[in-house]
Amino acid sequence: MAPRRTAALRVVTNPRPAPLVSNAVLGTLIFIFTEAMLFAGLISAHTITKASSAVGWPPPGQPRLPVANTAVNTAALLLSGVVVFYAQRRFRRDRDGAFMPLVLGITLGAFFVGFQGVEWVRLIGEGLTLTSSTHGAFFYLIVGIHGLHALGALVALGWAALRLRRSVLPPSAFGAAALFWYFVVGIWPIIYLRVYL
Amino acid sequence: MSRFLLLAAFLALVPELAHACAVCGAALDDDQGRVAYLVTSAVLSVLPLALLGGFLLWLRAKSRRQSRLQAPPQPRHN
Repeated sequence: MAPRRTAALRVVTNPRPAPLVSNAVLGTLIFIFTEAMLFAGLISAHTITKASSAVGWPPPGQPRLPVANTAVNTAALLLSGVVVFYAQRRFRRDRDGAFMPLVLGITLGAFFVGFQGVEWVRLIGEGLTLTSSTHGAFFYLIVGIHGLHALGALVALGWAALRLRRSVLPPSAFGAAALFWYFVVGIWPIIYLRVYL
Repeated sequence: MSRFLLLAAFLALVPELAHACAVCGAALDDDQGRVAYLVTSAVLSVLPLALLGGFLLWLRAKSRRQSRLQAPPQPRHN
């Protein structure tokens, strides 16, 4: 009978090291990369069309965009980004204390989207529509897609706030929702500079 | 009639002088358009690389930070 061979017992306490980036944040980052390219393509097309316009920009007979009003709205959106960032920092130390800043950030973001809606109604009343000119088409396409992203990010932040209220919000989920909001906030000044000015 | 044909042939040979682009009018003065094409082409070419490169650099920095935090403390030699 062959002698039995025994192996030393190896205790594995942590077989999988903690990932550098959570799945939620990685997925959001990949989504943000694709959306960044979408916005880059749209802004590039707008820039070339604007620069090549033979009749000036905006075309004659088309209403001017509300530059000053939207500047105030831009400030509200940027402030919202700062407040959400503060909420995320606070979340690491004191989870309950992050709720109010998060709600404030969502409120500022909702104000931005609502104000944009009011401006759209006014512009449509003045004759700027999707089919009135290339100017109108680009404006509603670019700003509209940004608005859709803002709405999606607000829904994600609202979901995070509800989970935070019930103390069941994992940091990775908060990180992913906040990251998407930072993208929405970060891309807006570029849109404002290229489309409105 | 032959004079008109001659003129048409002449204009066909020198479209830049005739401003023959009747559709877009871009041939009149399109320096801005050319610059816009160049700049946006450069941005669209570099942006994916910048995004990916930035992400990898961020991962590298995060990995180094994590390694530093997890490293066992060095024994002291008096």
